[in-house]
Amino acid sequence: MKLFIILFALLPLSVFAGQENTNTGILAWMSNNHALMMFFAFVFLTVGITIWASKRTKSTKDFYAAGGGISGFQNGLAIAGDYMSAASFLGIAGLVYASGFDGLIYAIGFLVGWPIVLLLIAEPLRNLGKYTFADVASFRLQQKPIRILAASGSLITVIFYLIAQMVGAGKLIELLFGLQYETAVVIIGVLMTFYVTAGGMLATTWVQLIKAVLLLAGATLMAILVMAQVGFNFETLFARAVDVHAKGELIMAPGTLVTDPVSAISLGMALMFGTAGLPHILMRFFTVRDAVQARRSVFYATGFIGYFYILTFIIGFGAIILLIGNNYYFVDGAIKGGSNMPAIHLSHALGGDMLMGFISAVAFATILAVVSGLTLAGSSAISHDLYATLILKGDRNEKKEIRASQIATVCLGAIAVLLGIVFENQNVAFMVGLAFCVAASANFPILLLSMYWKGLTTRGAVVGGAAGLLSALILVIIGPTVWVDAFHFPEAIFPYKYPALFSISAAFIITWLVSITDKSASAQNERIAFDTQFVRSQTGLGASEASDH
Amino acid sequence: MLTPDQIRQMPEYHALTQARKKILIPLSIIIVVAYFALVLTIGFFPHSLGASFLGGTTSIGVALGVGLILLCFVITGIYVTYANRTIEPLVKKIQDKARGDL
Repeated sequence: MKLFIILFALLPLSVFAGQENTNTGILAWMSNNHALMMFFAFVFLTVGITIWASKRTKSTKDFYAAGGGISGFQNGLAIAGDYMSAASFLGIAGLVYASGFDGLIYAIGFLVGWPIVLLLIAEPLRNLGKYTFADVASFRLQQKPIRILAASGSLITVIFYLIAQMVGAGKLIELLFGLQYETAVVIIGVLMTFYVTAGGMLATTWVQLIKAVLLLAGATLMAILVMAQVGFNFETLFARAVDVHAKGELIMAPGTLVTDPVSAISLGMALMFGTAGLPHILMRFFTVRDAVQARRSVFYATGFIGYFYILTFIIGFGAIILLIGNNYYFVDGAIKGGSNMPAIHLSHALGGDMLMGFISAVAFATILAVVSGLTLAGSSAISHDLYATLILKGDRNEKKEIRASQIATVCLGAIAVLLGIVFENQNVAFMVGLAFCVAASANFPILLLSMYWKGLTTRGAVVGGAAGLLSALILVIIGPTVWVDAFHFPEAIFPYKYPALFSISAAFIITWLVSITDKSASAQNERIAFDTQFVRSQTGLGASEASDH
Repeated sequence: MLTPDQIRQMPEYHALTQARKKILIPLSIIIVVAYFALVLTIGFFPHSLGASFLGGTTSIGVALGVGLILLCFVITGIYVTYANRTIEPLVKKIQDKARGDL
């Protein structure tokens, strides 16, 4: 704890030092330091909250679930904060700017998972679980193998997602503040480790809430300013965009993102079902009191997220009509700072340095909030599922468990920084897509079947879940993105970029097949135990009692 | 406190599982079918989505996309309203009975 405070005192110094050394980024043409000031305001505010939260975080329930006292509305906003990552804000706006409709395909895919979470997952999850989704999957199955499987799925999902966010964040800060990429990644790693180890879920939740409000406010302002340019008429917006865009009318139809039906279905499945398997999202449902609040959370979250994606779409089109033709934002015919920057440039075009400073600080806040949520989910998989259940076993020691979680957080922070540096040039959208694919193939099938299918047995879940996880990973490695682009083999063994269609099917079919052929006595008991579990998942009876100890 | 087996025998429990089925299955089917209809159109007939919607620059694809986002709001709205009106009273009744308050 003390070490962190010292690190914090040094942090501003290192930022200013870095700025003086490498004054070559966008900072050079940002005539003042609004972004830097707002960035520090956010950091100091959230550090203050974290210190406040650390004094209130004593039990494991405080650490993993903020004491279970978050309201449905707050949690909905925090879920939105967790989900609206910088990758989606900058990435989707950039994709819309580059090719119009294709950006909308991603936006829709990220949203349609939410009705599924609401209808099938949220309420039974809250009724059955305590801190992680492994609690639910292992409710009537054998603890040890199921928790190892669920923790592996969680960790792999979290790590892919973390790499994507770290790379995106490093690039953004490198550009905005003129810092070195490595320095930027280290700063993010230190900050997120501090939020999570000191303040646990309570601090993480408040970071999400503040960030969600800032992001929604900033994006709303930008969208209003864009619409004011076209007399609040969408037809005018689209018509002007088609006029100035190099691709002309093609921006109003699907382009190069998806080129064949199998990839289209695969990407669609990964996005729709991946949401329901993201460990950091699922974990948020344990911060509310009961299933009613869980349901309310998703309702608000869906509203905020959908609204946000509509804003992003408007912002992308705004960037087309306001940036194209203005040489200020281009170097050698390409947009300054690369394909993720149109939203940032647009904020400058709309509101000068002040608005650009605000939007940049918001983008940074967004990244910090998302990586904190991810790290907390990853470390709880290690401490709650692996350490507490497998090593401590019956000896429930909350202090030891929280300690383990803090150590795990520091390790994950270090891993994230390291991998962020190693994968500096990896495509961010692809890494996010991969995280969704693993979540949809390994976590979602087991979670869904454990809640709704009486026939599921431990053997079936373990073999099927492992099949989903491994097939997703292997098919990505032997597919075009890794095999050809990264390893430079002439031809991919597996022809499609997105494997979700095959890996999700494999998980469901193998789980089903192994479960129905499992004739062991323990399997029979697990099937019988389903009826009791179902009563609890439907009524919540027994749920509050269980989360008290 | 009633046991889970006793709760399963309650008429309210039967009504609860039926009420959930009645809303969950149709709504899930609507969102999955609507989404994959768009996904399949993108996969098989991408150019058809570029056609003009109502004669302007706005394409059918953009209209359908925004429509799908609105459908997500509508579906979550319908479910939450139904759950508050129909499902929640049943859950309350079962919880009260099971805990022996009635």
